[in-house]
Amino acid sequence: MLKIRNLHAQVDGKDILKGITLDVKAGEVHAVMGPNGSGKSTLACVLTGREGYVVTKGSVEFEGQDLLAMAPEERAREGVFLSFQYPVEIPGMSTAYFLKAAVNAVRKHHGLDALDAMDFLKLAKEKAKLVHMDESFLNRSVNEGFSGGEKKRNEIFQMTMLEPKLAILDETDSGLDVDALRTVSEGVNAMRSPERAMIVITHYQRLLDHIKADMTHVLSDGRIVKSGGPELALEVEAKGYGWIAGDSQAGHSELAKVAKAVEGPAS
Amino acid sequence: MASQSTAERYKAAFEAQRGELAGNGLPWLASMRDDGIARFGDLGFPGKKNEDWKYTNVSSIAGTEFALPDVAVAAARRAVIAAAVAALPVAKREQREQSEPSEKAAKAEPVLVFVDGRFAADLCVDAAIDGVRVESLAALLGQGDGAVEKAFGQCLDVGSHGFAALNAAFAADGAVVIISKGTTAERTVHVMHYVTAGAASISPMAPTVSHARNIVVAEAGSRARVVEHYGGDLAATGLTNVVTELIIADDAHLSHAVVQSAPAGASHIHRVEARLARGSNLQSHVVTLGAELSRTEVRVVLDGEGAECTLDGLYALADDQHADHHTVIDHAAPHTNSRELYKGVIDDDARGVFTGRIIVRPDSQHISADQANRNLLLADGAVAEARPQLEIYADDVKCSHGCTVGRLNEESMFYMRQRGVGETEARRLLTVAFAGEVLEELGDEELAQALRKQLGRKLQKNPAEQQAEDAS
Repeated sequence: MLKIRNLHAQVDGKDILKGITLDVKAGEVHAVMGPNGSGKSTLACVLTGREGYVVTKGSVEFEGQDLLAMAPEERAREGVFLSFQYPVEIPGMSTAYFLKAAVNAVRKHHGLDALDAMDFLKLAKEKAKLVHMDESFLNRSVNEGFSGGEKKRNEIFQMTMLEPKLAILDETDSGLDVDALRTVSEGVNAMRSPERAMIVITHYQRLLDHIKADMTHVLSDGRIVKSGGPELALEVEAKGYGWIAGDSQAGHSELAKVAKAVEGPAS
Repeated sequence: MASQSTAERYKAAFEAQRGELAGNGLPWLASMRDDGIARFGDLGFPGKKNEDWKYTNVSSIAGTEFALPDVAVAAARRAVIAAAVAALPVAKREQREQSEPSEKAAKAEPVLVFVDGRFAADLCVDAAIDGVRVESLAALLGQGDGAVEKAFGQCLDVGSHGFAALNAAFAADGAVVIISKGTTAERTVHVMHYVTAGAASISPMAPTVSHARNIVVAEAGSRARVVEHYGGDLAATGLTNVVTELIIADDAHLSHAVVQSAPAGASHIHRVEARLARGSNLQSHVVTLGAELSRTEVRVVLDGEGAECTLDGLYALADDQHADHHTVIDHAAPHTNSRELYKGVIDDDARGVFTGRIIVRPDSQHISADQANRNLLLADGAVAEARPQLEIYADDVKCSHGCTVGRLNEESMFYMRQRGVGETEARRLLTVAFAGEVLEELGDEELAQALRKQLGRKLQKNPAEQQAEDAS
């Protein structure tokens, strides 16, 4: 589904990503971990086409198309969804209005009829239950005055409405208490399917207690320095990031192995 | 000082027309009109040296020789104007209720229609509201009506500038709404002023001028809502110079709105003057979408203890539009409160000017006044000028003011695009959201919704896409 090859990117002229290679197949959940400043969020921004992130080298293929050549809204319509680390507040625009515009933009792209207000509300109320949100929030301005937990639940709610092919969750666990973390994770797990892939970006392992990743990658200084199964996340949690930075040689050889694996017949 | 030719031109026009103006035989009115034309002779049109008009150049108006509107044009354009009246948000409300015809008459909202400043009885929507008189000024002047004599000119400061003086000289028609003592009018009274482009078959297509005067009298303890709509033929280029007087008695509550969607080439000068007695309340709304050049003044005197006003405004400008909003709130009595929010959305090479003057008199203690002006610039060529002017001569005063000029939030733009909404559409939706705050204050969801759509169309470069949106 997603093929990232030797991706280099800059922000304000500074190199942040220094050669990321990663393959994500339909049905898989990949965890991307790493210390602050390792480039995790930059990866999310580059994949979704945020302004100010300049790709200097490498390529990203999504469902056989050149993802980097597409405008942010085209990527979204093709099925790339980002759960924002800091969801934006939009005073004066109701959540229902906002999301109806989004859902219908995506539907139009796929040649489907727009949902009318009634059908939209029916669907929205149904999906809101999944993330335990009171439907009254649909009439409130987007994220305005929402608590940290409500904002993140709203992100997952939007994901369930838009049904993306690839969901990127950027630090979805940050600022959540234990209950909110469970609710959000349940919403995410309900979305897992053989047709859908997810990239879960997180600093801590605790989200991965709830969302089981098939693969774990550790990012450091703009490179994937270690890849492995779910056990890698536990190892990071136990030992911190220091041991990986000191083991970068191993990380590189691991990377080479992964790269080799993904270029194999499976892809 | 008017150049000799301009003053003489208007004086000559006045002398030629005065015999035809409604209420010609009324001595009190004749002396007001004489005073008006004399003041115009002294003042002329406001020039660059007038601080209150610093950002608004009216030389195009001063230099134009306007013709008198031809009444035959109104008749020829009847079908088009009737369609415009039917398209007002009020008309939709009626249609919805057609399933119960007996209810319809009871719930319909009256619309008084004026074409080129003259009452058009056959285009009006008649719907009586108990305790509310809704009539044309010309008719009442013709009858020598006492209530009009009492109200006419009560609020207008004729000497403040040339446009006010000209209106005092020429005004002979407009809407008169009198809400009798203790009446709560449950339905809105609408006033529609329509300006035509003339008709080549009837008379030369010269720009025309009209000087309408609207008067609303809210008697003690009454409650009512009045909405003035301004629109016209797309090709109209004339000048509408209108004055609205709001006389609000003890404990009366009045909601008043001016929705200006004048033709793109027209000029619109509007002055709303309100006087509030003890314990009364005014909610003033101004929505400016049309006209090439416009100036809308809202001047409120809080004249009795406990009087309160809220002034909300929205201007959405594009192309070369210039809109000047000038507000004055005079806290002339103690324990008076005001709140003011004007928002501007300015695109292309348009220019929005806001002046908010707040006066607190020396004996006016326990005052609260809150003013804000927020501007959203959508293009590099767009300009916003904001001038708060606070004159505070008392000490027990809680007063705040703030002005902002900014651009669309990039974070919000990316958020919307990441959800699949196209760039143009995201820009449009965010802009409507910015304006939404003022429209919600209208307290009339149907009108607000109609204005949101109108605003959306204005911001939409691709009309086909907007039609699809409207239909959904």
